[in-house]
Amino acid sequence: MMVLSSILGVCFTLSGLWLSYVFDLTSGATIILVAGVGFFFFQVVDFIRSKRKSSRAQIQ
Amino acid sequence: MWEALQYDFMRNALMAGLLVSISCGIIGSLVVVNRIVFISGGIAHAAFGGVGLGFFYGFSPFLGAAIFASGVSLIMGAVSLKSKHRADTIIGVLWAVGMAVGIILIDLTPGYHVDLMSYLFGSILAVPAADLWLMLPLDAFILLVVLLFYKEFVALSYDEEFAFVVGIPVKTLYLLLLGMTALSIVMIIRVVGLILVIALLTIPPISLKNIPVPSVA
Repeated sequence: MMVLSSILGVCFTLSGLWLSYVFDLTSGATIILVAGVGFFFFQVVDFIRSKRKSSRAQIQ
Repeated sequence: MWEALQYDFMRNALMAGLLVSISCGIIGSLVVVNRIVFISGGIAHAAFGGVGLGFFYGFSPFLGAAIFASGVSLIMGAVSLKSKHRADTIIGVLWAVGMAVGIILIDLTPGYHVDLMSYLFGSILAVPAADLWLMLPLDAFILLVVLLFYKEFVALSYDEEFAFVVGIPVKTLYLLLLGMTALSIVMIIRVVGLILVIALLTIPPISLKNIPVPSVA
């Protein structure tokens, strides 16, 4: 988890920096917004996964 | 887009982001698992007192922030160990008072201070190369400590009582963790500013909470 978190942090930082360059925004806040969107995306994926798991359990 | 890389401030910014993400991933995982996010927020805001100290006495504000943040983290750690039920109140007080001390000290310093916003909101694009040479050994130190004491940190994170019974110095380890968190936070302040420190510390680890990895690493 530590290694994956670091890699994910690098992804957020680099894409946040790139977006702040392209759209001329505050770099720190852009990084955090990208992180927030990423977090939301991960939550949605987790939610879909858990729904799939519970529906599969019911079929059995 | 790639023409941005010809500017060395942009290359420094990328390097700073990379170095900070390494310590964020390591310390952030420990912060999230130990549920000390609130203390981390407190350390970040209280570190501003150290920035003020640096401005007022004429030394590097980041050194001031590092020393002050480490000191405050040890106080907060000691308080949260001694009286668990009042810990968050005292952390809240230190949070606000640390910030206020910084602001007043900066008010009292003669001259005009443009840099204030850069501490609050980060100035990754203004990271000088010298700072990168400070971040690298800091990262190495954090990596070394966590690698050496990995089993102890995992025991502390998941079962503190067991760790204590087995003979691990949980109090010292906890204070060491908070000290490393403080140093990591001072690095992060450079990148995203102290107001947004918590996000960079906690979002990467918590995004991966359902990835089936058997341990903290």
